Amino acid sequence: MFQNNKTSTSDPCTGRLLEFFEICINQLLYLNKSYPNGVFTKKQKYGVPINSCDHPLLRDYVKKCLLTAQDLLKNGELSKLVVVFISQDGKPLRRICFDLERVQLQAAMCKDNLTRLELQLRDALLRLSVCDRQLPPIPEGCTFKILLETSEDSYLKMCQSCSTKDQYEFLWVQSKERSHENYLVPISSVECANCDFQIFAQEEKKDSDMLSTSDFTNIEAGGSTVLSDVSEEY
Amino acid sequence: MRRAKREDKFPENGFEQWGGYMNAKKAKLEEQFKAGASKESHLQTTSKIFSGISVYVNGYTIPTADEIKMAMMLHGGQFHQYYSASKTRFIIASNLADAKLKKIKGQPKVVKPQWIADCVAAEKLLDFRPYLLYSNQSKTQPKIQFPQVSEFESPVNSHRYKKLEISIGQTLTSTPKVGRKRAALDTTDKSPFNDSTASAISAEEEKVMLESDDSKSSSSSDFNLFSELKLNKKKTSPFEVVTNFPDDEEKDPSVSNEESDFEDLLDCTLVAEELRAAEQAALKKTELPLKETVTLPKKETPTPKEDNIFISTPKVEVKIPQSTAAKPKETAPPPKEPEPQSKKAPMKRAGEENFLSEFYSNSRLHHISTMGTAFKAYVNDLRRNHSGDFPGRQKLLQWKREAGIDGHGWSGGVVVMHIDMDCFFVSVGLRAHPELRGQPVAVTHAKGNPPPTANSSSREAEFQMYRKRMQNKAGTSKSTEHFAEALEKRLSWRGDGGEASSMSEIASCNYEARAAGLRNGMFLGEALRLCPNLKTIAYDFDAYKEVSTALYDTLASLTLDIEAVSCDEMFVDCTRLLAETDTRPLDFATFVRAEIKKITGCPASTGFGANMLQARMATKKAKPDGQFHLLPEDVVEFVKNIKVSDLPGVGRNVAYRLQAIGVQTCNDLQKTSLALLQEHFGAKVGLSLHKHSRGEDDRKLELEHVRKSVSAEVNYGVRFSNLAECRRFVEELSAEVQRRLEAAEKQGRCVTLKLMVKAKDAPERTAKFMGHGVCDSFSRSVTLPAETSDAKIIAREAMKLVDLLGINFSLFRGMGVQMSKLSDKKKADTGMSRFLQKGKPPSSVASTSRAEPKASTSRAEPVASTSRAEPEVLDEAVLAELPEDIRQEVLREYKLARPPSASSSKSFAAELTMSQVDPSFLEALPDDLKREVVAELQASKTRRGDSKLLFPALTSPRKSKVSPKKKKRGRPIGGAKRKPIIKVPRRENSPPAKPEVQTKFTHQKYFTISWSQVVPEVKVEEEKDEGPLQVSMKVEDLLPLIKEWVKSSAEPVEQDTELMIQFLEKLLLSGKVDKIAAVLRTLKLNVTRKGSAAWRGIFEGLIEKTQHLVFNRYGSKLMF
Repeated sequence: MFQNNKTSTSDPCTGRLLEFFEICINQLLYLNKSYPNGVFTKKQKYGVPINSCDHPLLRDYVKKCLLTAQDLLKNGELSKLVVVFISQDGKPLRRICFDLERVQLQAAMCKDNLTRLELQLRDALLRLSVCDRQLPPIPEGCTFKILLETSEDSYLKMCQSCSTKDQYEFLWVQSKERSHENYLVPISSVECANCDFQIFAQEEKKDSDMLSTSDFTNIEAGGSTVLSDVSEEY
Repeated sequence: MRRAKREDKFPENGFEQWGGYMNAKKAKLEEQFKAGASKESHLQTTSKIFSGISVYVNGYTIPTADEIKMAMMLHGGQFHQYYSASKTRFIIASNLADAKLKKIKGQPKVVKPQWIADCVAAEKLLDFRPYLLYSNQSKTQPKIQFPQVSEFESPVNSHRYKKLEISIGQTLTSTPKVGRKRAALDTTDKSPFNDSTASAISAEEEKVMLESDDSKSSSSSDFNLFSELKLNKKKTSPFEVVTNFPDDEEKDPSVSNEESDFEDLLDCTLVAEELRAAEQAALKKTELPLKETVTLPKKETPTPKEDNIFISTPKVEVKIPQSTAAKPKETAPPPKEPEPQSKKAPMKRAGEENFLSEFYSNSRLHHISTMGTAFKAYVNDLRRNHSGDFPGRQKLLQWKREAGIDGHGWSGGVVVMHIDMDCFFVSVGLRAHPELRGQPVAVTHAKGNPPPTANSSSREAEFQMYRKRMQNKAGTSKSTEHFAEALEKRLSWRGDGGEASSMSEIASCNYEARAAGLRNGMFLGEALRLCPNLKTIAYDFDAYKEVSTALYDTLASLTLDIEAVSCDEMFVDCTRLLAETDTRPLDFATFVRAEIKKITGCPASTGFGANMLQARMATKKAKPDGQFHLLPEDVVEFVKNIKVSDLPGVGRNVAYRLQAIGVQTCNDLQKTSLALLQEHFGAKVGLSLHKHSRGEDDRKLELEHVRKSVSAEVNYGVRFSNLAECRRFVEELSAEVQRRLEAAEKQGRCVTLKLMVKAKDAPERTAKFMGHGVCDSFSRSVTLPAETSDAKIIAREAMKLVDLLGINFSLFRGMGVQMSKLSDKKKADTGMSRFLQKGKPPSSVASTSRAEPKASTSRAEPVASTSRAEPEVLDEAVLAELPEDIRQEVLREYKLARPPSASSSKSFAAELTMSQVDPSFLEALPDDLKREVVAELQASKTRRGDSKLLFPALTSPRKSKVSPKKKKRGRPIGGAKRKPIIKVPRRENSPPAKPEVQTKFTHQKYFTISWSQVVPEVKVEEEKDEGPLQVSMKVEDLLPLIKEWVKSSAEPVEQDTELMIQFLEKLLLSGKVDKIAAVLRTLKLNVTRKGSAAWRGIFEGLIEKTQHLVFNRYGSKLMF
């Protein structure tokens, strides 16, 4: 787990966040059945059962991505971390987005806040684990990639330091991917002191399960199904 | 049954009883020991020095248990093989486990084995107390100085007792009252010495009793051991120690025990040192003073209160605190400042009631620093109220005539005089203690109590940390040895954490003491090590003030070109004075110094030079009690020998870095090139070093002192145990700041919070009791929209800064609140501030911590009531209300807003890059605004990742007129993330559906200035009373509101819809799509249920707008 890399993460908050991302990525891979279930082992974090992938190459990929994310995050330059699931014919089907724009890790966190943060992370992890309720299953065998959204400045900076450090033999390329035909499904948000971020999914449009906002009758029809997690009182 | 059987079996020998065997064994061992002793005594010389002493050896000792046993045999003592609580008087051990210590409960004394060895070597029974391994007493409890008196002889002063023996004994018998007491004492005296030394000893005890009685106002004679040395007819002793016993002492019945009484009252450090010193002095004395001793007490016995008093014999007032409730973690610290007659409660911690006032009445630095500023103000006052004539000049001229001095040979030119009292505190203190003249004297708080926290390991750790830090600070430099030496010097004395390691600092010491290597600021512990016969005197702030005032008055009667530096130091520009009175500088100095000495009785030194630096260096040379004129032609040579560390602006850090590049004196510095210096120290410091090393100094005398900041800062005793304490302390500090602001008739705009936070690895207990230890410093500031001196506002802002730092309050070791950007208080009552004070102080709107969950259901239409006044043209009435400067600014900005070049999205400076800003726009801005915009842009650079335009709606031309007014003002870049937003009125009939960001009005048509804590770059804030919808609200609290909204009216009110859209925008901006989705879901459900066409229409529009916004931000539509 990522927290084993604690030597490089001095700030406990950053460490927890990155660990959380790692868990989430693994969990998402498991949930979306990108890899056979056999490569996952069950573990527990925050008292929540999680599945973590054992495959060394996969682990390495995730780890390297997160190391870069860590550097960016420390400088407050990471605006999003996105896990994209791509169908076998190369179309992005789903983006799970960690919207980190408001995360500010400059100030140290006190112990109480760290505990609070962990509780919220647990909450978010649970919600993520059950997001299949809101998100339709995607075909098995999808591949995935991790995108980091940052500013051009920091990308350039990063590339410049790339050549010198072994750590960055892992190369980043600018993503061309851009798709407007999708819907945003909020999953969870974490709000704790300076650590304020949200997780949402961006789902490719499918005719069957999407609502048209202009068509009011559709809303009514869809209302009963989608509203299921709002208590009936409201 | 079985018992009966056993009784049959065994004869009645006591063995079968509980412990019978052991008792028998012990008895036998004792017999054996006695037998052994008598046998040994035939073979070797014996004595009876240990008679009545029984010891038990525990664990490994040097000398070994066997050797101790032998020693006890030979010298009449008892050696117990087994420990017996009732019989054993001493446990000899070099280390004793805590569990054992608890078991013995302090009954026998635990003594170091060295005691036995020393007693044998000295052939007499020495006082065991210096050898105590542990005392019954809690470590945190200060000991009271008390002369050593007991059946034992002190290892240091034993022979002096003999000397005094006869004289004191005689005195005593001649006083009937005392005689009675003595008789009473004799009966209780268990002393083994009952022949020749008895009278001396009981006399000693007598004295102690009398002294303690004295505090209870018995009129007993207070003569003492040292009265033969000094007899000073003063009423009060400078050392009045008022000490509390901690509660555990109260519970402990052993307090009544005479022996432990004495022990508790005994102080091992200073007393021991002083006894030694006194003894040396006594040895030098002839017999004459001894005779005096005999006679004096006799003469004065009836009313003896007046004589008495010798510095080293403090009167002791023992007080047992009545209430044990308010007990600080570390009980009973050393009394900070002797306050005769005052009932002193245990020292407070920060956050407790009145901590601050107590702190300020005790803190040395506080007194000294406030004296400095007080005199600056004093000089200002003098100047303001000056009549124009200088009475002192007449005196000067008269003096010149009398002395036959003329001004010939003085060519004029700029002359700056620096005048500095010689070891100010000491020389003022010595006025009250003339008997101490010629002796090394230091002024300090401490009484020489051993540090109560003397946990040597944590202390060691702390010093290690200091060392490491200083080395780190030194950074790259190579020659660490010098530095290490210097550091060693400062820290080496720390010793074993036991005796003579007082952490109390010496505020000032006289030249006699300096000769012994003492320096100001040194810890008392080290000072005593260097100079054992050091005399310490306490502070006398009233006298300082008196002398200082006299000093300033003297100079002010001659000229007003004075820059006050501190209570005892000032710069005087004598150019005019000397020219007008035709006096040569040195003659002038002679006159001034004589005047000062005449008035204050204290010596002063003066130095003259062409600038402040030279004058100061000249004073250094002139000291002590001298004068020196540094002539321009000598400057370069003179400066060469000056150490760099003596230059102004060269602290430890710079000095060390200079040393690292091989610069120690100004001579070295002169040889170093300016470029090199600037490379190492930066342009400014480098240049000033370069100049100073040549005796050049550009500084001008700061004649009119202007306060730049007002602050209150405490870094002693800060240990918060809960947040409320922290808050209270912040409030107290703020109140103090308010007081000071009011005293200075100022108000400020910038609140700075300074925090000292315990360094990560620093030990929990600091070496200095309640000191701050090794700390990291933080400081954060925030600029207020308007000047204030209101403690409440200051406290609130400071507290927010505390929250913002997010550091646990328990780690705070020091805290300060400072107000800067000061201005005079005249304008305090203008419209703006009056408005701000009313109901709506610069309310920190919707900081994330403030949620407003309730308020909801009771208000059926919470939003509809807000009517809007949105004048496109500025409301004249509003303008009139504003203070002048703000009005100007508004007008300026209003004009600026006209040209379309002040384009739309510029209000979102954070979203812009420098290149996008029209230079002409920047040019047109007033300077301060321009700076802010540029700074803002630079700050936003790092966040530039998101360069999408958030709100297309905002690009409409209408907005452009408003936008520049939303300019963030005075936002501190970096640390604090706040920005005030000026809210500007708009006109009523603007299209309501337009998303409205950042501009918001109350119907009062006032300009309001609100605070917002902006976590992301743009966060829309709302006035508290304007709507129940808050970004920070939880979903659970939001949904009922929405339900209520839909239910309440048949048709949605326009404003409500607008508000809802604004709210959704805010949610979006603060990244809460889940909340947006929840809100929309609820709306949908409720609207659907309602089945009203109007609602549906509204809802549809709302969805459309929201989706549009979401799409703009995230590139996808929200599913909900």
